[in-house]
Amino acid sequence: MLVALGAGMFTASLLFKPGTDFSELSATVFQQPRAIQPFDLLDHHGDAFTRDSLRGRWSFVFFGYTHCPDVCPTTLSVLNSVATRLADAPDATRFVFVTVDPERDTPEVLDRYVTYFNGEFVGVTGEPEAIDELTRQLGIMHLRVEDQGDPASYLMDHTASVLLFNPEGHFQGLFSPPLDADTIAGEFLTIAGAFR
Amino acid sequence: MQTLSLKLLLLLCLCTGEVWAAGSSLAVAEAWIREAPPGSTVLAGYLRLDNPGDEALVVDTFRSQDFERIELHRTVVEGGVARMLPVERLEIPPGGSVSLEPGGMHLMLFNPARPLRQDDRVVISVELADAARRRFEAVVKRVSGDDSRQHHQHHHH
Repeated sequence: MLVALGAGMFTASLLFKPGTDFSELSATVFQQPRAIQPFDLLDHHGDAFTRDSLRGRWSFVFFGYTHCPDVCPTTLSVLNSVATRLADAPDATRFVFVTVDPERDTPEVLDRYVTYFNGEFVGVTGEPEAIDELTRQLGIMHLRVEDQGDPASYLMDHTASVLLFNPEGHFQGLFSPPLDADTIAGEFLTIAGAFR
Repeated sequence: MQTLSLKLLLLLCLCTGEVWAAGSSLAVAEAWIREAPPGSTVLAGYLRLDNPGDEALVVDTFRSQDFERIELHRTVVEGGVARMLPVERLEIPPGGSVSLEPGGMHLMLFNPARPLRQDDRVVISVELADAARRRFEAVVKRVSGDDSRQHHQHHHH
């Protein structure tokens, strides 16, 4: 009871300024940010990446896989453009690529992959069960599609949205495809501005 | 079965002496390959296929010495979920064009034989169902997020 009350008060302190209206935005913004369960994953250096790693800055989080030639590179290129536009913004940001294909996407593979798009991007992988737990609580769909001719080159269906976490590490909203750098950067400033 | 019917078709074409006639009307334009991070084993290629002739053209396969194999796929986003579906049949109507572009249809280029960096050129051949073949060159391009945007909104300079 005490815990529930504490969590409620904590969440309430993060509500937007009165009169904030996001209905004009293409982004989905939750009036009530969602706290997430703890998770244990690894970043592209092989260091721990946990729930606390999402705190302290706004985080843009995208789920994909490196054997994805069309959607994932396009999205990461768009996110790189968003990062460029927000470089001088008052709100600090980080960009995180979480693989839904941990079998092939080791920290080493992710290191080569994410830093190609932007040296500051963070790649995240881990045990398949840990990835599943995180995607389940965030409503991220991913499904392995076998290649009949070549078992090694299977594909993954996956949610193509970019998730936004606030500096408390709470799930705050999402940007759905088609993704556009100007729109994402502009709407992010509106959302973050409502917190200041 | 497909191979057999293709052979029969080829034989028919040879008999009537029309084997290259249809192929000569296919034009390939704006062919490029997205530069991928080092070590990538799957790349994407994009192009436009024009058919100025008066008969429909059906694409059978793409091949290149620079890749182990090439498949034709289409990205579909439904309910926020991106999926890649193999394209079983690609037909270009008479007088029509088909564009392969980011977020839509694309060539899946598997296992490059050499590292491909910006401005590298790759020769690809497209074979039609009537066995006609056309070779074209695709240039490797490094794409920024601003370029991607242009495919959604075509008004940028």
